[in-house]
Amino acid sequence: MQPDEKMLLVVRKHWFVQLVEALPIILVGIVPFIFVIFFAPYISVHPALATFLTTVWLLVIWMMVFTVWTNYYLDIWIVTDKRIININQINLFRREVSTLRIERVQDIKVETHGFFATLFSFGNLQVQTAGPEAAFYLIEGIPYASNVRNSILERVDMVTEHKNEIEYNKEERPPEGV
Amino acid sequence: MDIFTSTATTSTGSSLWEILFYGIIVIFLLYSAVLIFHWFSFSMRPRTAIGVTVLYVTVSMVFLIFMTTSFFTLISL
Repeated sequence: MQPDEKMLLVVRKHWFVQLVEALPIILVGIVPFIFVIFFAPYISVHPALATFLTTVWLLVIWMMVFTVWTNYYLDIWIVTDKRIININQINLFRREVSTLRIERVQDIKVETHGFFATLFSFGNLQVQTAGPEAAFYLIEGIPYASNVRNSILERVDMVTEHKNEIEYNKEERPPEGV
Repeated sequence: MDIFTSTATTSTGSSLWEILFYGIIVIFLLYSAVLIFHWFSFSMRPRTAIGVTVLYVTVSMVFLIFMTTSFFTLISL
């Protein structure tokens, strides 16, 4: 961030979206316990071997859970008074950072799809930019998407008004030498 | 012959377990270093990074202790 830039918002995906992503890993993590409960009476395995394999399994699951959490935590949108910075953490070794100047924001659309999205108040935010090559920036599953949209639009209005004022003052000023 | 066969099997078995065990330890250490590097390097608050590291290392240690004790029990059989 630039020194004179002020951070307004940090937006992260909703925890429920993250839970859905991590759920398969957690379910795989309980496989050894299911195995012990249902199959242990029928198979004779040395307790040390069972402990070894289970702990290796759980250690791998533990690392995977933290990988998912790290990707979630570092995948953020930062709204400042000048820009929107999108840090897209795809995996541990892939990270994309893109910025969008706040005055280029033209419209923001909020979408809420599904039962859980409505229940937990999260949705998708689609930012449309102005200019000849209009583009869309999408962030999925953010909590209270409407509030985020309002905050960004408020800032866009302020910047636009400020810009208009400057242009108006330029036009009003009499040309030099008259 | 029996003694030779059983010794050879035990020796090969032990070395395989050892390779597996030390392989897991090395992968765990490298991967943990990458994770901890991410927590302390990118946009994460220091308190969060420290908290996550403490939680991760503590629980991992429990798994590693169980893994190590069961490993030494296995190779001593």
